[in-house]
Amino acid sequence: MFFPVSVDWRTALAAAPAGGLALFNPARGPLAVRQVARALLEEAAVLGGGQVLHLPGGDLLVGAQAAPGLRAGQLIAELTGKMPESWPLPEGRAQAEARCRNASPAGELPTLAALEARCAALPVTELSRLTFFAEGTSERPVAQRLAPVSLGLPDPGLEALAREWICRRLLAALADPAQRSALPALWPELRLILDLPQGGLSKGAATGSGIGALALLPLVSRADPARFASTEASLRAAGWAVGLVATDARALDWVEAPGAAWAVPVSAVPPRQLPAQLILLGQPVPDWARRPGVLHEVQTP
Amino acid sequence: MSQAAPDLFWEGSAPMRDAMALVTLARECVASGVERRALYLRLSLLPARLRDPRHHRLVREVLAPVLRPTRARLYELPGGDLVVLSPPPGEHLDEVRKSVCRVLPEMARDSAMPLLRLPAESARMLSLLEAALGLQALPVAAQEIAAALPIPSSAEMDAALRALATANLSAYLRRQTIWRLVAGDEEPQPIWTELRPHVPDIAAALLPGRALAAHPAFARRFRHAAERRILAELSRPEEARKLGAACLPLGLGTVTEAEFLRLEAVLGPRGRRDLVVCIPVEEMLLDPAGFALARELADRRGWRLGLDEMEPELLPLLPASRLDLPLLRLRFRPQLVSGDGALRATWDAALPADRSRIVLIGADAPVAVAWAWQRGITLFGGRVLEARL
Repeated sequence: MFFPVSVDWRTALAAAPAGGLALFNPARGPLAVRQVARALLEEAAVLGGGQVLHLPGGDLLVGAQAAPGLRAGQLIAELTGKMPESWPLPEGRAQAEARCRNASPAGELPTLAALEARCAALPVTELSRLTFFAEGTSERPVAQRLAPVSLGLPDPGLEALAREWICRRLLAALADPAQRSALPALWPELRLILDLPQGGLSKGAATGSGIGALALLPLVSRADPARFASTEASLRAAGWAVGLVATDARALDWVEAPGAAWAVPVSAVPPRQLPAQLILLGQPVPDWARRPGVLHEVQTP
Repeated sequence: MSQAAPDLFWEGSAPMRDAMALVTLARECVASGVERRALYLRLSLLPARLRDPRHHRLVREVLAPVLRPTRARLYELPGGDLVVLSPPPGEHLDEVRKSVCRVLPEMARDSAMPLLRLPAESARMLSLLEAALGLQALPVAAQEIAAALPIPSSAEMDAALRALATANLSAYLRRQTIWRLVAGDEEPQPIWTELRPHVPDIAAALLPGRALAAHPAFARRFRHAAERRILAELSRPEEARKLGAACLPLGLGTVTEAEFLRLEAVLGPRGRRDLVVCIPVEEMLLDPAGFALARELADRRGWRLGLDEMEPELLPLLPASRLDLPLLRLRFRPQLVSGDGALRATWDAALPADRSRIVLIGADAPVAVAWAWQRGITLFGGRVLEARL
């Protein structure tokens, strides 16, 4: 059931025998997810005869048999939550071609120098986002979060680096009256939640607004217990409460941080144990979140 | 520590047991307030010519008649130090001192034969015991040494990463064995071969004069790039066939890169059963979603995913009761033995109940083995076992 390997994906689609399969995994989401999916497609191509073509907009498996490709697709869906699209061949050839042609190409990862330059060149007005939070079943904002803008990079390591660089610029802008006016205006009656770089506030940074406010440190800062303890102590001494921000809600299930406030992206299912205070980032707000001690995002007041 | 070498094997574990017993006793004195006097004979300070078995015998012959009629007990420590322990007032300890001075005038100094009052001087006693156990000879973290150098710039990192992408790193591949060593066994059993690139050497070659370790995010990227090159080598079919039971400490970013996924595919279902991959704790905290993906992938594909570089202080943060993993690589630190008691209890409580899932890494001194055995841990990586073979 083997057929000649083609350099051109259209030729490959056309050459597939009857009973074959086209399966397309678009280039979306984290790079890790894409690479795992690609490896599973490659394996299906080895097992069932066929080839995987790396297109600008995603990976295309053209398989001589349908079953291995469908199994790979199922596994990809279970691992990543997203089912690749598939078409029986030759019937679905036109549809597969159209989908592959129209898929928007994935962006290239920046080099470290390019990323640093990009973070350094962001205008002050684009450094941060101000979002508002209500508690429980109420929709009345009680808190505001000033957070570094997310670049949406598909690599969590690069995104974390960018967060550090942007957080430092955000702090500097907050401390500088000339730049501060370019940041979103804070609401004095709402509690402030401020994302900080791993090292917390640098010495001499303005802490006037710190009283009663919540500082969010990235979860990875807990990996260095001595440094975290000293950062936490100096923040508390300056009147801040200290919380953790994680990039995925599943961290709540694994990490024991009694008494800590946590900020995590919204998830459809509640964590196994709720922390003392939970701040859910993003929307839509799931029903389980409408309870005391859980803050959820609301529209601008 | 080199002078203590002959005593460091676990077969001659009597000095180890004595040292551990004294550590426990010093702590109990603090907890209960019971008074003891300890005469600490630091025979390990003697010049080499006076440390042969003949001199040792001489000292013991001098001690025996003084101690026989008393309730004093003699403890022998790794490295040759002796401790005489007695209930107060312990006047005979002064007599012991004088007798030792008669045969070994070199010992006639207070610092060579301190007389300690427990519990008041327990801390000093513990620090002397740590020295005897070899804890103070444990290596200083590379980060502290490197701190004086500047961190690499982004552009320097990019250049180094580009060079790494095509480098042949086979000269930098380090193989170590993870052993099972059970108390009473003659020989340790090899369990896994641990394979990893030696990152500090690669960094020294590609980023000379730069403190890579001082920038954790850069260090992670560099490490991932080095691991990918090593994996590209290992995933060649003729190499993969030879892999056997392997433990790969890998960055989380590496596990979802093409090179690892190729190796994983080449190994096939049977080969994957023998494969263990361990992710550093910090990378799991940095990218929980990636960790969840890697864990799911491991489960589906039949290899095992564990955590690497677990530090004692991080145990309460990631207790086994919350995150149940097939393997936990815990780094041995002196605090495990000498730290605050309440803290050590919380560390113990966070360990997986199934001790066969724990590998004690950095087991560079016999005290690490002693600590592990007390807790039923029998898997080790470190110099104390390597040196023996």
